[in-house]
Amino acid sequence: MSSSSSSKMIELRSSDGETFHVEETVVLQSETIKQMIDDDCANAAIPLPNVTSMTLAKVIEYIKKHAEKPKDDDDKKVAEEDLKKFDAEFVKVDQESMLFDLVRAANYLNIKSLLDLTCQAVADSIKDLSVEEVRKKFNIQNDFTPEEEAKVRKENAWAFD
Amino acid sequence: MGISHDYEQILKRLDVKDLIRCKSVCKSWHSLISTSDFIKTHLNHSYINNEFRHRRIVVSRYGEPNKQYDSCFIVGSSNGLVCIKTSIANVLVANPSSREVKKLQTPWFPRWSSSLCWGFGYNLCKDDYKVILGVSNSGDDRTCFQMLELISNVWKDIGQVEYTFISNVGALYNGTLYWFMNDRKNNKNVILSFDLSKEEFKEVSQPDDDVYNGCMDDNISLSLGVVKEGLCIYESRLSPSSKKWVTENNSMWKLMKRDDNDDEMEERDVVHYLRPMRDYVPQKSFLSHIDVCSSKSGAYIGSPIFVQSLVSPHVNVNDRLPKRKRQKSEEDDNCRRVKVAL
Repeated sequence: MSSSSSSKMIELRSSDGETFHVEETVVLQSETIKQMIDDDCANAAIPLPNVTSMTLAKVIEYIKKHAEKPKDDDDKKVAEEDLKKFDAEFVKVDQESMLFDLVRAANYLNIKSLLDLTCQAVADSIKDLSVEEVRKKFNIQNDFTPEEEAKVRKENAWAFD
Repeated sequence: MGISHDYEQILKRLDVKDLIRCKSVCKSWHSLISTSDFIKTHLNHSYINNEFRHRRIVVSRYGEPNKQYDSCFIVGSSNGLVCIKTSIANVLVANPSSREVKKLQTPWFPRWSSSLCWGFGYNLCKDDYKVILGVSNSGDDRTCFQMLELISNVWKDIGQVEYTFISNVGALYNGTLYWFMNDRKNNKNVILSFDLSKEEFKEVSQPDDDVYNGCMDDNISLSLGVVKEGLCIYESRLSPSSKKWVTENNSMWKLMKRDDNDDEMEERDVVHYLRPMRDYVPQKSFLSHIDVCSSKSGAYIGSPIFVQSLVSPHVNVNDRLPKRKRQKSEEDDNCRRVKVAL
């Protein structure tokens, strides 16, 4: 880990005021923060008004793990397997709302691999759900009138079989 | 942006059936899933996120009692749309994933004495789909081509070539259709291409190695197909993967033998089987089953590439108006002219 030992530390501040210190090389996985650093806006703590401390802690756990570099080719295969396991465990969160928070954070911070991972997890979880279950999951109000809904359902009736 | 962008990121990963059901969740989801931008995002994701190398679509010939539909075959497939010829002159474009179908205008040709070759593909320039029909009258050394754009649903003549066709169905690669044709005057085979955006016919160079020339001299029957490396020529009578020529850019053909493929152990083709029918009814199932087989056998090398998408055969003109207005003059310059350059 010689490459990261000399790395500069970046300070991030969550929406609820908690600060996190992360190595610059790790945090560069976020395109949004990378842009801020490039624009020289990262001398003080970077405020992240859209991300809570709980979510930010998870995001940092993820980018730290994904910043680890395998030493050689043999290590690479092991590391890849390890990372796959980590990703699979990472999206098994106790509360579903955490997964949505992570999607929003990954989107805001522009971390593509985390966005892919969390969006896929949400997508997998809504496969084969009924319309009512999807509404409940996303806390969406049904704004169709009964007539409108009946019409939309009729047009797409086969997809409800 | 914000929430709807998050939703888009999630929804683009769903299957077509799930998405169509999700249109009933609320008004904003209904409109999001119906926009042409989302349909394209979903399509791109389906292409990129394909764990298998290729999906293919073929007409199912097993266990179908309707013998009279033997003439049903697939003209081509692009972006999830499939062009199907169901009887002598009945042509339609269907999306088997969203179960939509559009009947095309019946093309005109002398039924009793002509043979036909076909092609189907996407025209990036106009964001539209085109069906190509080549008609060869018996005893004539020419093939006359007609073309139908999905948006207008009208056939028009686009020119002729001094060849007769060998391939009945064109192979679609990178927005261009390819057919094997016969140049009777010079007693040789040629590959004819048709660029769907430029609307240009061209003759494409063929491999120039001893093996290929040997095949030509021995009159061995060759066919065109698409593999992951590009457009390919293969021997139709032999096990297709034993010997094939592949090109990425229409100029350099590379001969690939079976041994070259040893590192492709894991590759699979997913094959979607289309029910042979005279009429496809919206909302009814068009597909009989799906099968997974090794790409290595090359059994489906000549079958069109398929993708599951929301792309509708009913082209929505209004949806695209702003963009088209903006680019109109440019498009007119690029697309209107029809050229036959040989």
